[in-house]
Amino acid sequence: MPTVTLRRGPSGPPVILSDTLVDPGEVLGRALTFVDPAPASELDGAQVGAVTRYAGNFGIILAPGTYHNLAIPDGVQGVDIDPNPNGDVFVTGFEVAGRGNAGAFFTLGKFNAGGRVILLPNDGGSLEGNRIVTPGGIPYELTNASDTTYVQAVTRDGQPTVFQVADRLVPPTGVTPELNGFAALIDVTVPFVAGGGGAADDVTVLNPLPFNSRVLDVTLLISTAVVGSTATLRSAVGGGGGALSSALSTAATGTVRNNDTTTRTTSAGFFLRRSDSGVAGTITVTFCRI
Amino acid sequence: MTAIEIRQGPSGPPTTLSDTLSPPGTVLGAAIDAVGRSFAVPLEGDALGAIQRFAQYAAIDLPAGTQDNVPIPDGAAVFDVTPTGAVILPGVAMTARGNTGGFLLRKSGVTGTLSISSNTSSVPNNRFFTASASLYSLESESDAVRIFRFNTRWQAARRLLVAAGQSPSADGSPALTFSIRTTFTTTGAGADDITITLAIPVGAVIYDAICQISIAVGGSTAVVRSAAGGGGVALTSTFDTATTGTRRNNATSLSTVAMSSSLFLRRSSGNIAGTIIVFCKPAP
Repeated sequence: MPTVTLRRGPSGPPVILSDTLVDPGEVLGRALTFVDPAPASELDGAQVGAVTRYAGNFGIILAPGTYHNLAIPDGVQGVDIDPNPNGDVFVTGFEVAGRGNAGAFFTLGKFNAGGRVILLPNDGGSLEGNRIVTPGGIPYELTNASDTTYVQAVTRDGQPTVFQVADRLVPPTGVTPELNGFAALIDVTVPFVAGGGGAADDVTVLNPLPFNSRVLDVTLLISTAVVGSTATLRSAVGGGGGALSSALSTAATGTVRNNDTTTRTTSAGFFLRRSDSGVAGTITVTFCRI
Repeated sequence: MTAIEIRQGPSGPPTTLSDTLSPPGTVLGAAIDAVGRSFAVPLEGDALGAIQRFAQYAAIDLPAGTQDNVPIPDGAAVFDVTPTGAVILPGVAMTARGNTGGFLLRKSGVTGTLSISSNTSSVPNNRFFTASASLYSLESESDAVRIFRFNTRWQAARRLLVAAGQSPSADGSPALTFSIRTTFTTTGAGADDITITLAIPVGAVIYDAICQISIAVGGSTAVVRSAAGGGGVALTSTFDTATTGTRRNNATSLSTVAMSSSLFLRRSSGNIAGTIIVFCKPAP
């Protein structure tokens, strides 16, 4: 009979679980000091997998409103919230029945299309040990039907358990490259002040780029103009590299837009080459990952 | 708390990794020092779920740079990393029984970034794999990602944000936007259609468009429409394609298209060439 050894840690007694894998729905536990013990042995891959298969689900209909210490049955792996009637359901904490929160985890889903499920981080409405931690400390929203996220209880020494949402705020590096012409848009905006004037120089807009990029549009807001001057987005300083935009006139204040004949790509950087450093304003480059 | 002295890698200094183990609660089965009993108890329902609950928590401070093959205590459910600067993890190694199961990788603190690189660890068995082999970055405080064990690798169970994978947004609500871009070349003198898409993956509001003309034809125009042959409805203003350069949408209202709709650029002359870019947001 195979056994699996779960150790609570150096400070706690080791725990032995033995199992008989009749089918994934029946797992037997037995003390190691069983009268007629079978040798303890590590479970192999398939056996461990069978032990960890579990489909417990908890579905709940919640009317719009705020819920503190939302009770979750012990041992479930799926928690499905149905906002009904449609509206916003705010949850400030979870409380797992029976054995407490430590080690609990589940997939939290939103059932049906209407309403929203919004997790509020570190909200005082719930007990400290039941509260939620979200990426960036902002409310975490499940908006669409079948939106889901993984939630894991985290317990640190001497601190209350918290429920961590396994997600991140999406950084620019978190978008997929352009595919079949479709692309998520990214902007970078940089204000630039006037230098001494009378000579060309470079304004670093973004260097290095986080990925190979395609410039889709460039907009300049010119607050200080210099007669006869221009500015061009380039992939290197000193007027080097390739041009990533048309030469934009900076001879008058106001908004100036790219007038290129095609999109441009680069793996280097974005630099605004201004023919006269006396020009001041703001540049916005709209680009996508390729 | 138990302190474990570990090494970050061949070139890194020893780092103390704190391994805090919280009681998992009552787990069915019996302690190794239990009085001998002959109970073989079928575990079901909450008891079966409880078997899988373990609260082992491991935390580590990592300095900026690439930290390869960072050790994780055996059985850790949560691996909490506080980066100082930009930290890249090519791979991690579970102690004792080796790499198995999975864990929650979490970034602690507001400073620095924690990124996992794909398929770059010096030890193949310790390697992370990420969506599209991109560097997967946790930048905000409390960003976290579930890591699963697939074959001989650690797999970050997340996708990259796709262009049309964003929440619908009504007027007055913030929106994540996306673009659809198509280049077109000269094909002949007559009017024709350039297919921008035959099936837009989500219902979309078209809020802007630009048409970059690299080869112009005097007196010619182009317009984005919902059907070929000049049919359907116009989704942008008519672009003047008589000269090269960037033409911008001059519509007086937004256009909305349903999921799976087609978009075409209807050009009055097949002899113009350039690029059409349509800017969209998911429709409510």
